[in-house]
Amino acid sequence: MTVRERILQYSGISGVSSHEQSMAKHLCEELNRMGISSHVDANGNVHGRITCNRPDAKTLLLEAHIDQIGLLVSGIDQDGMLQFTALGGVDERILYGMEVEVESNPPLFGVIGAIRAKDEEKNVKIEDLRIDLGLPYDEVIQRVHVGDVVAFQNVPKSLLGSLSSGCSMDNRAGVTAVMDCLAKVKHKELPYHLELLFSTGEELGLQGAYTGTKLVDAAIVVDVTFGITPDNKEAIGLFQLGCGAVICRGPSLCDVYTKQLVSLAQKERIPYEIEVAAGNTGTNTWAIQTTGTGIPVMLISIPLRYMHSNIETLSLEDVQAVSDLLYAAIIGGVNLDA
Amino acid sequence: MLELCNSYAVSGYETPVREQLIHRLTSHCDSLKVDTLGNLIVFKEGKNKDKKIMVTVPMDEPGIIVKKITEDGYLKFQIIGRLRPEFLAFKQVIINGHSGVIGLKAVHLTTKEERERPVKTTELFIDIGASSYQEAANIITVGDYGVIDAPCMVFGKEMIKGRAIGARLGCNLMAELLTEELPIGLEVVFSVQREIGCRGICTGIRQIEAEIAIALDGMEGNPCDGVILANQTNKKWKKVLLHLAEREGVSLTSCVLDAKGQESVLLQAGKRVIAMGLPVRYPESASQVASLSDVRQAKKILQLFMEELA
Repeated sequence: MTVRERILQYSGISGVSSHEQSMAKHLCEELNRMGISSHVDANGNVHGRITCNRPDAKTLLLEAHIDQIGLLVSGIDQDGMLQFTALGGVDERILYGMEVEVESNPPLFGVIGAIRAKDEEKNVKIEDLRIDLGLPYDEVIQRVHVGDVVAFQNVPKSLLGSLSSGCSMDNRAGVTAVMDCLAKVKHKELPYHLELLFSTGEELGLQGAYTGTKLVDAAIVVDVTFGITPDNKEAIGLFQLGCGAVICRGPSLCDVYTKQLVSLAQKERIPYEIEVAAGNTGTNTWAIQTTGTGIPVMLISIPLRYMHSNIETLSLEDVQAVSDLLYAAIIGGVNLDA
Repeated sequence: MLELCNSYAVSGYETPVREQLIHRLTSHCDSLKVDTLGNLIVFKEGKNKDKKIMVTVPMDEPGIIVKKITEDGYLKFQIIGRLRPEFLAFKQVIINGHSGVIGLKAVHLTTKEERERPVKTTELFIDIGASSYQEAANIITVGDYGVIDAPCMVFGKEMIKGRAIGARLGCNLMAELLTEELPIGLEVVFSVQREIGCRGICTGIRQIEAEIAIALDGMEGNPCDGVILANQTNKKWKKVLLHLAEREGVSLTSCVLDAKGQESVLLQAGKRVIAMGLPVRYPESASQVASLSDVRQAKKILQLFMEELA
C-alpha cells in the first residue's frame, strides 16, 4: 500500500477525540495481519509489540495519536437544530457552511448554519451556529443525544504534485508514517524491542499518552507541525511542504538521541529540517517524557498547512520521509546505548 | 434533478446547466433558442393557444475568479456573485479541473483580534499545491473561474443541500413542467448572470411577449413553511394565488425582499410580476438548504395558476 492509499484509507475512518473506537479497531486488525500482537486498553489506546531476538534488549516506543478534533452536541433546539461546542482546538472560522457527520446510530449528515443575523464587525460565534440535520424536532430527539460527537466531512483531495488536503491529516499523517514504516519492518531482525502506542485523546490534553505509556528506554513521537502559508511567510519556525521530516530539538527532548536522528537523516539522504521548541512541544512527547522515572523522547513531525481546519494540507513526500527515517532508526540507526 | 443540481454553472459560464436543459427540452418545446448572453429561452404552446405566461429562473451560481498568481504559486481571487468571504474560508474549490483549497494561516498562529474580525476576500488565497509561480501558471491563467467543490446532497427529511439550490431546483421544476401537457402557453427564460445583477433577465425579457411574469428563485426563508410570495408581487395575482392555495391546500408564505432581484427588472419592463421563491437557509453560501416538499408545492401552485388563467 502506498502512503497516498494509506492516508486516504485512514482519513475515511472517524476518530473524534474520546470516540476513537473505529480507528483503534482498524489498526488492531491491520497490526494483527502484519503478525504484530496488539490490544486496546481501558482508555482506547492501541498497544502493539514486536519482540526482538535478544530478551534483555532495550525497548523503543513509537507513538502517534489517533484522535482528531471535532464537535460535541451540547443541546437540541425546538426546531430540531443542534447546538454544539468544540472538541479539541477547532479553528472556529471553518465552521459556517461546513458539512459534518453526527456520530449517532446511524450517523447523520448535517450542515452548519447561523441562527442570528450577523454583526458585521465580528465573526459569527460558535454559540450562534447550529447543525442543521434537515429533520423535525421529533425525529431528531429520537436519533441524536446531547453528548454525541460530530466529525468534519471532507473527502481528501489531491492537489498538484504530492500535496494532499483533507480534514484529519492531524494526525492520520503520523499514523500513516508509522504504519508505512512497520509494513517494511516485519521481516527484519530488530536490535531493540519495539513498543507501539497509538494513543487517544491527544487533542483533549495528551490523555491517552499520559495513561497508556509504559516505561521504555526511549520513544519517538510522530505528529504534525506548522507549514508555511503566504500570510505567514516572514514567520520563523514554519516549514515548506516538501522539506522532509521535521526533527525537533529542545529541553523537553533528548538531545543526544535527537542528534543521532539528524546524522541518520544526513547519512541516508532523507530530506529533513530542524525545528525548535523552547518549552512544551504541544505534542505527546510532553506526557511521555515524564512517565514513571522518565523516558528520553524524540519528536519527528510532518509539516501541515491550515492545522485544525478541515482542509489540512501536507506533502505525501514528507510523510514518506518520516516513514523512511523511522525505519532507519529502528533497524539500528539510533544507538540507545550512547 | 441531482445531475442538474450537481452541475457547476458560475455566472458567465452557465454552459453545463444550459446544455442539460437543452437536451431535456428539445423534443418537448415548440421553440428553443439561446440568445447572445446565453439565456435559454423556450416556449411551449398550451391547450388554450391564445394565452401564455412567462417564468424567469436563474441557471447560474456564485463562484470565484482568479485575480493573480503570487510568486509562490498561490492564487488571489475575487468572488463572483453572492458569497460571504467568511463562508469561503477553508472551503475546497475546483479551477480548470484542479482541486484547490481556500486557506488562511493556522489558528494557533493568529491573534485574538485576527480571529474575531471577519475575514476579507483580500486576505484569502487558493492553494492548488503549486510550489512556484511557474508551476501554477502552467495550468492556471488570471481570469480563470473556479467553482466551490460542494456536491449536492439529499439529507434529513426530504431536504437538499447544494449551490444556489433554490434557483437550480426552480430550473428543474420548470423543465419538468415543460415536458407536460399545459393548459396555456409557457414561456421560460432560463437566465444567466443572476448573481451579478440579473443581467440575463434584462435582455431576455425583451425577447418575450407574455405580460404576466413569474420570477422564480431561491429566497432566504424557512424551508417546509411553503412557497414564498414576495410582497413585490402584483396585488391582483397575489389574491388569486392565495385563494387557489387555500382551496387546494398549498402552503404559501410571504416575505419582503431586500435586495433587487429578477422581479425589479421585470417590473421595470412593464410586466405584471409574481415574485415566487423556494425558501432556502444559508443564502450567501454554497451549502444552501431547501426542502423538496416546497418544490412540489411550487409545482402545484404553478399548475393551478395556469389552469385558472385558461
